[in-house]
Amino acid sequence: MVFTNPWGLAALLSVPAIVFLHFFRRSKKAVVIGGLHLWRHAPARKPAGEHFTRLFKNLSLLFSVLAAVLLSLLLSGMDIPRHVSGRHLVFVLDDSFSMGARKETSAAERARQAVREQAQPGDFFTLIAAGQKPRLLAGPMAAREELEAALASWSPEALSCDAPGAAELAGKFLPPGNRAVFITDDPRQSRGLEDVFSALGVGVVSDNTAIVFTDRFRAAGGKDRVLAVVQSFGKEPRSVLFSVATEETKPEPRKLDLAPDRPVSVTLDLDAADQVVSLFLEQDSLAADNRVNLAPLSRQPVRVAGFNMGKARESLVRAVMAVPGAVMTEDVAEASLVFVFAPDFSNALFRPAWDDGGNKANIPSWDLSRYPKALVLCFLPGEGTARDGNLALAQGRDVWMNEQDPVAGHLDTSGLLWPYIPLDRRPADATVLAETRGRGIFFLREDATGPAQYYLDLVWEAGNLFRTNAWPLFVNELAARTRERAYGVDGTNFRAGRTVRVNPPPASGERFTMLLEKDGARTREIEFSGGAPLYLSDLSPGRYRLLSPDGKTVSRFCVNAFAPAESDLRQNSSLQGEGSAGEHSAVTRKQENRLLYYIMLGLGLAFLGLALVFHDLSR
Amino acid sequence: MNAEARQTALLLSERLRLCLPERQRSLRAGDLLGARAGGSVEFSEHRDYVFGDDPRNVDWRAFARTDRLMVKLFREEITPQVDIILDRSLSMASDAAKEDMGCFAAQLLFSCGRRRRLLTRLFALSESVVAVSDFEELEKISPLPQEDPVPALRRAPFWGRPGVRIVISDFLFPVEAGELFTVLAGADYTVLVQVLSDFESDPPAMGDMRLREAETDEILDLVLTPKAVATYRQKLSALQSELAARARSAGGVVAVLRGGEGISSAASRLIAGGVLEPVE
Repeated sequence: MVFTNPWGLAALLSVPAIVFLHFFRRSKKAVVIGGLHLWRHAPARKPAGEHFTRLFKNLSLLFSVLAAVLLSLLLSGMDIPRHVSGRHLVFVLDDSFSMGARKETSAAERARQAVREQAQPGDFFTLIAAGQKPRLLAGPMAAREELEAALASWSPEALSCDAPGAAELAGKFLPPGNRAVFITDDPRQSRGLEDVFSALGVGVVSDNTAIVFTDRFRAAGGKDRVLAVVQSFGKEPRSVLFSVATEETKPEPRKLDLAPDRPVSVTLDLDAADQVVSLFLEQDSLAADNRVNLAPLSRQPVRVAGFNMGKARESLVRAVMAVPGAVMTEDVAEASLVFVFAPDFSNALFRPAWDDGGNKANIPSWDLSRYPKALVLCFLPGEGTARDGNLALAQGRDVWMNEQDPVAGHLDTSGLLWPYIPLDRRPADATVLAETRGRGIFFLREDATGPAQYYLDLVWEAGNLFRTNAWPLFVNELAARTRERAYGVDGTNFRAGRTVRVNPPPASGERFTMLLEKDGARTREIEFSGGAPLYLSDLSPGRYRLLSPDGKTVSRFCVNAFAPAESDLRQNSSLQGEGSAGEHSAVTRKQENRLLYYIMLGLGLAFLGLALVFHDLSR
Repeated sequence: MNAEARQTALLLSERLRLCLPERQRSLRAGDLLGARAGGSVEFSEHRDYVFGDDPRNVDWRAFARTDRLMVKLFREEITPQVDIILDRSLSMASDAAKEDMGCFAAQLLFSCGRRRRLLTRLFALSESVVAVSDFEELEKISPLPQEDPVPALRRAPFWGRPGVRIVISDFLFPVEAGELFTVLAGADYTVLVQVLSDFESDPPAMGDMRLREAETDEILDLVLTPKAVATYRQKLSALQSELAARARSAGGVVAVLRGGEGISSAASRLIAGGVLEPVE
């Protein structure tokens, strides 16, 4: 018996209240009247006995108490769980795009069928999708209905399959000694995971051609140059038709001869700077990688300003020149990215102060409201003396990112070199965005009245960041992040599954609504609250337009199965696996006993009705 | 009765008066017109002149028109005797509001009578009928048990005498209404004012209940079912109907007051019952 709500137990206090009211009513003083002869006809009250005798003789009271007890128990969430035994099957589905490869039926459909074939009545299920990050689709210990619903809504659209991560997640749900069923089109992924996975292959051998790389950039003469790399993953040489179309021109097919595993590059100069460019391959078993849409490039430059940079200004200028779409500006107020360097504590950034204990403290005095548009990066001079620390430059793998943070979680720092500077000073209310070797080096400080501030903590004299190859990468990254903050959508071409940040206009107020169109059809309204950006991570491949409330186009962008500037497409081997489901031991699960709940509810209401009936009859 | 209610009764008596029949039988000469011919200035009728009539009453104008000697008869002027009997038994004191309402009614009717210069007397009906000089003296009489008021009323000084008789009581005596009326039969005009407590007037059907009679201290443990309450209401209604019928047959009226109601409401009930009427 389980009580989950203390309010229900408190409701049990109604029982003594009912009994008290009952005896209070009985113990009232007699009513004095002028003549009893008019009352001789009335039925006499039963002779008073012991209290408990009266209690049980009064059916109205009895039923009132019973109803109060039952309804209180129901309110308390009382349940007598039913113990049900059955097998607990853990299924892990390959969630990568290649599972969508179709030859009569797709691998995903065969995976669904495999799950249904192994599921038996009375089993419990845990369904995990192994994509870039493993995610739980159903369960743990879900019923058959929940499993079916999860299978019906599952669509493999991940860019890769993290089999080890899925194995780790599945291991948390597996009963001891059991193995999960890993259903994939490439059972080779389960190598080394045999302790957890029993692989079951659902792929079939089929050739695949794919656009594995595309890029679009501004060429000379106002033309846009489109690069594409096409590759065949079959075992035999073959020819495919590759087509390019714009919004105003029809597809122009061209024949490409593809050798196995030999990528072929295609370069096109198009006079369609303001149009979406579409690249097609003829249909094959895996259609998701046969089409790419490239939206027009964003023309909004990132204006960068340096403030009080000193000798570092030259390094900043060089780095900005290397960033596409970024320009230096002398007007700090118009800049969207401001670098500020404070060589010592006596400059304009901080004014010295002393706390109650007489210790020196530093209070920011820089007026951020002067730069309402800017993403401001302040270099705080550290007091650390670890001059040798700057030599211990860490590779990106040593940098820990706070993925829970909506900003830092989307900051791609791969390949960025971070200087390691032991520092004991950091903004007290700042969020650590990145740290290396247990120490925060990159901070975000958000103020409700001004723009967000980012802090990179280092001793610049010792670290000399500006002379490392991390510096231009860092500037490039910050320029990209600055562009992200522009009104609308930063960027033009996104990979499916990546998060698209949508920014409201500056000073948009508490509520702001934008409209999103996909392939010419309105798909949703985007509501902003408090000027905060929104992150869309569920955009499927297609052409998108972001519209302002008055219907004007704010941004145009495309979502593709693969990013135009990179491709992590692995070869679609589509091999038939030979795995089999493992043995599963029976487990016992507690289930809510809804029947008991409804019986108790019915009894409680019946008792309540009887109490009312007998209350009336007793009059 | 509190001072405010007493003051209200005095104020109301300026605007209200006892509603008495136009013709009284035989009382002392006074302000009201009697049933017989008398010496007032109000013309009653003509009749033929007979020897011995006062020649001043000969209607010479009628003689000129009809050539007959006719005399004008004038109405007799009387001062009616008004006896107000307030039940001061324990049953009237069983409920404070009921007791106050009875006292208020007595005070109001007494003041109305006195204000019209009627010969108004106050009596308290407890163990016996006691005459009191004023209202303050009436209130000082402690309630005493009174199960059968008939013997006491028979020994009352007003028994068998004509006049106006106003009885204020709950009339919940265990006696027949007809027997009660025999002792009031001698009056020319009988007014019955029944005062009931809230419970007596409208008892709730609240299940188990202990009732105690004020006069005898008898206790009844009853179950006040809706059916029992309905039967009680029928009996009470029958008692009130019989009282009203008896009063009407004797040329009187009946009014019912409720202890918990307000003073203005009680005055309205007395007006509606024909006990009082507004002064024009």
